[in-house]
Amino acid sequence: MSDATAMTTRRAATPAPPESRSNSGPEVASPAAVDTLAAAMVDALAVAWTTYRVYADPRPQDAFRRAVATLGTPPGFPWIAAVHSSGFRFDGRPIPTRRQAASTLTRAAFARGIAALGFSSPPTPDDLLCLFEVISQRQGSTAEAPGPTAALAAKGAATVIIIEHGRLRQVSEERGHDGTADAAEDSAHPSDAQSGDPARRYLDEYRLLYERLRAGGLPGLQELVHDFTDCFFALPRDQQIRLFEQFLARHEEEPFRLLLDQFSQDDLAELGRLLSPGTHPLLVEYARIAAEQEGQSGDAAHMLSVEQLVAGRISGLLPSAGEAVRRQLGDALRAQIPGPEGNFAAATAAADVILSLANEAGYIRVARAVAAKTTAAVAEGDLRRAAAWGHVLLSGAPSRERKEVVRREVEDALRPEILDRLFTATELTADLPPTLVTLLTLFGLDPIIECLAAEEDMGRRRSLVSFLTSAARTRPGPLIRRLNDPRWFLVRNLVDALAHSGRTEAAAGVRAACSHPDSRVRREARRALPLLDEAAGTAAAIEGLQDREPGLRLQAIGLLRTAPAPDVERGLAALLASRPAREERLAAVTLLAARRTQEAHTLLLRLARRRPFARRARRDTRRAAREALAGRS
Amino acid sequence: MREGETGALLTALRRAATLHRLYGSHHPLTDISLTEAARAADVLAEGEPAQLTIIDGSLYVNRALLPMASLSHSGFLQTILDHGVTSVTLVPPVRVEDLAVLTATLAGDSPEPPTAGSVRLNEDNLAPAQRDEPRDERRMAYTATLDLLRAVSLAVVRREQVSLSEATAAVRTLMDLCLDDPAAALLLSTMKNHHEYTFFHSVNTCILTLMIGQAAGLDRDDQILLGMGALLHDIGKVGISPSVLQHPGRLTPEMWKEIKQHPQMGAEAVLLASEPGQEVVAVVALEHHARYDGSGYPNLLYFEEPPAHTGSPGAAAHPLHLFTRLTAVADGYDAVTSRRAYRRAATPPRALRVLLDGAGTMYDPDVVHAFIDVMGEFPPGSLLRLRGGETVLVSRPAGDPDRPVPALMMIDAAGRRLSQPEPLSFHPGEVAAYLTPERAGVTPALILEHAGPAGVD
Repeated sequence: MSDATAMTTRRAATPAPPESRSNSGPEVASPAAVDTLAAAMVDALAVAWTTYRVYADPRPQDAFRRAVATLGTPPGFPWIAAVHSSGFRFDGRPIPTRRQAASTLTRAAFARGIAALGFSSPPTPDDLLCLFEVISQRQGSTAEAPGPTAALAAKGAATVIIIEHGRLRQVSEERGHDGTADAAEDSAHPSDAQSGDPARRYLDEYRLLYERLRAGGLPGLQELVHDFTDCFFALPRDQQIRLFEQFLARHEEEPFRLLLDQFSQDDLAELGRLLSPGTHPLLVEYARIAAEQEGQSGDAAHMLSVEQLVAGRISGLLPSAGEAVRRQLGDALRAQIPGPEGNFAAATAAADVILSLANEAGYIRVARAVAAKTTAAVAEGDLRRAAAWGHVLLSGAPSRERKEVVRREVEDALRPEILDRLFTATELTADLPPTLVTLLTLFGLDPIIECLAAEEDMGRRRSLVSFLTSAARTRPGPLIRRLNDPRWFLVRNLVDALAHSGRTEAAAGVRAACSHPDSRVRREARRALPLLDEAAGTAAAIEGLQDREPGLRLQAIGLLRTAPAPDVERGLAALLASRPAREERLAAVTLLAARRTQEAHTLLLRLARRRPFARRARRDTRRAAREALAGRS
Repeated sequence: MREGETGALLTALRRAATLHRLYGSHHPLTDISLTEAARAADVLAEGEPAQLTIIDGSLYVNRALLPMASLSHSGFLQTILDHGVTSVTLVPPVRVEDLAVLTATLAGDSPEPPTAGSVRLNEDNLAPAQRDEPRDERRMAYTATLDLLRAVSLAVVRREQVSLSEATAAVRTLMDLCLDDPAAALLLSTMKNHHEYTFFHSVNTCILTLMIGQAAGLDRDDQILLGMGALLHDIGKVGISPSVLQHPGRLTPEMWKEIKQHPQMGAEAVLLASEPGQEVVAVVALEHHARYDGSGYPNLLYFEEPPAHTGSPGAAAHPLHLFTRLTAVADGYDAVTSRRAYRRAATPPRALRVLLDGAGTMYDPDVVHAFIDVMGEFPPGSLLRLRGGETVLVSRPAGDPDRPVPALMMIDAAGRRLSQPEPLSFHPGEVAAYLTPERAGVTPALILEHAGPAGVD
């Protein structure tokens, strides 16, 4: 290639402007038309360059915007113009331009070592600015700085193409002076590159187009490599051999490695037979590397031999292909057919892997799907499969974030009808597989609590409370948090479940429930609290002696029967002083009689004293107190 | 044999248009392709004007639909349509210069489509009633499955709800096809299209896997699941960037990292779409790059320790699911015999050799042997040059290594291409060379259209 820039303009020379198609007949666009379009492009470049040099930020300027728009409409992409010291050239011809800035731009680009510039697609304003910034850099002051191509790439200007003189020279020098391979090529072809020799042209064109694509970010690389590979096989055999030897000699260079990679084992085998003995070992080595890349064994020599492949028939490599062997083989495979259970086991194991490999978004999607599969299995009454899917969710949630995802997805999937089915089908929690219990405990308590709130059937309510009781032994938190629920009946059930969970951290919540506005909750809470915290239970019961509901005051007296605290007597005294109903008074006296404390005795003595004009209730109390004292004596 | 010549013409035209677009007209490489195209055009026209018409994405030559060319050149046909060309009339002798104007048009470089000379564009289109459209159910099944894959892929990319019910129906149809005429099914599985590699490869893998599944004695329900797994095994590739999938060389570590995501991405998509009982389809997608010896990717947690909670199918069972091991062999065979972004196609016997080399490491040896038993030493679709000089296409497995292999002679000993292939059985000892379809200039699947089921008997 004697003139690299001429090569760069070839592509740009052929397209015709869309608007000229209707007028210019079946022939390709005339050189004049091409020049006019090239001039418009260069004018636009010049305008953009001027605004870049005048304004700190030219992007808002109308002139800059118009120029960018014009640069986005060449006849085709990539559009590339050659850069000469005297100006831009297109198809080897100077581009006429009215803009003086065009010459300053080309001089600056030329000085920067740029041989050609253009666009792989409509340039963005930012990319155009990047190009100008690269061109504006003074070469002398940036000896350590990267070249224009690297600088442009660093700025991420994907739509801009620049080709450096250095790279073109490098190609030229390699061909002319470097390496034995090149020397061998030259000795075989002493004529100039433009001699029309297909193999030589092939190499030149391929290298140049490869460089051009690389400068433009490699769009269409596959097309280039495939087309050159296909063209290789259209060349005469002697040219193929010479070219292939060149490929092998340059196999460490990326462009030629790409070509070599394209050859199948059959191609390599066929070419291998035709190569000179000196080149053949290289081919074997290359084939070995290529085979290893594909995961095959490193013994590529046999792969390279067509004769061996033909001679060593496939059937000879197989065990004797008799009917007995065939039957044995069939039996062996049939024995491995997994069946529905095996398929299912494999699917859940795979789901485990999928979850473990998924990114955040994928994890959410898969967890949702697995949660849905879990509940679908419940809906079908297949609790064993539900448990297996549940296991996937449990094992696939190692972090707090992922646990939260699973919780959300399980909550969404546990629709009321699923829970209804779950607790109906299993006849209470006893039949639930442990994995499912764990899953529901860890991730499904809120929906179950909601289910309990909505459930009217007493039997199912009992089974739900029973489940919640066992779940609360592991995880009381969700139940405790719901003790503030406005629905009294729900709170009462939760208090019941918590009371039997034995988890002391629930005591504070239950203690608070002893002051619930609804007496039914207070009753349940006072009954439950001693199971979690005896002292707190006594205190709550003492408070209960002052409850506004007579029935609860009576309950409190009953709860205090064995309470050891001295506050009990004071509480009973206060109760008796509040003029309670006869039944409460008698119960209080009975309790005092049962307590062997000094305080109880003193209080009984006070109650037993005779008072004139006492009402009947008082008299009953006095009588009971006297009987109690008598019993003590 | 119009499919063959039309295919050759389209291949040469596509290449010429690409070269023209890359570096203009009058280039030696462009000229080579144009000369090839002119030669194919003259053979196709046979002395009379021939019109190629694209209607509803299908290609017709005069009144005859060319289903194989429509399938295998679908991408280029769309490119032709995109440039406003709906028909090309070839008036022999077709001149290289006129074809050059056509390729310039297809490369976006010609201002006006040619309306005179030996190549004329958009002269006339066939009315629907004029079409002579064979309704070959095998081709239709293949096309329908391709369409299904395109739709599923689009839905996966868009994260839309995917249903596997249509995939079930498609697999059922292919399964019947494999049962009814195994030889024809194997020939059908030689359809290739580089531009839609993943889709064609998936359908081919499905057909081949079903063939092994039938040989292995799977029942109908299992075969459907197996077929679905094979059909969707590469569906995760829709999430891989085209620059990686189309990279024409060895992948960089970054590219490898991305490509290794596709099994799990595919498995995720399938798992999400699966109904109860279909989940095993996701297993195939997940495992299809895991090798028999435990290497490969992704890292399967259960390879070392089978899952305890579900109970494995048996103590002796291999950690990889049988469906995966069946699919992997078919997958490998079709991949080696297809043109990839990074490698040209290899011959079927070479692919069998690759499978045998990988038996016990990459592939389950039992499955490899079962596969070769199904395909025969010379798989249907293999193109061979015999010692006598004839080029033959294997039409069905021999059944016994010592019996003659049924084949069709495509090119005679004198190098003449036969317009109607002639039956010619051969003994394995007569084979001189293996050929790829590309090198032989023959599309094996065309035999189905030309000879029908009887032609391969």
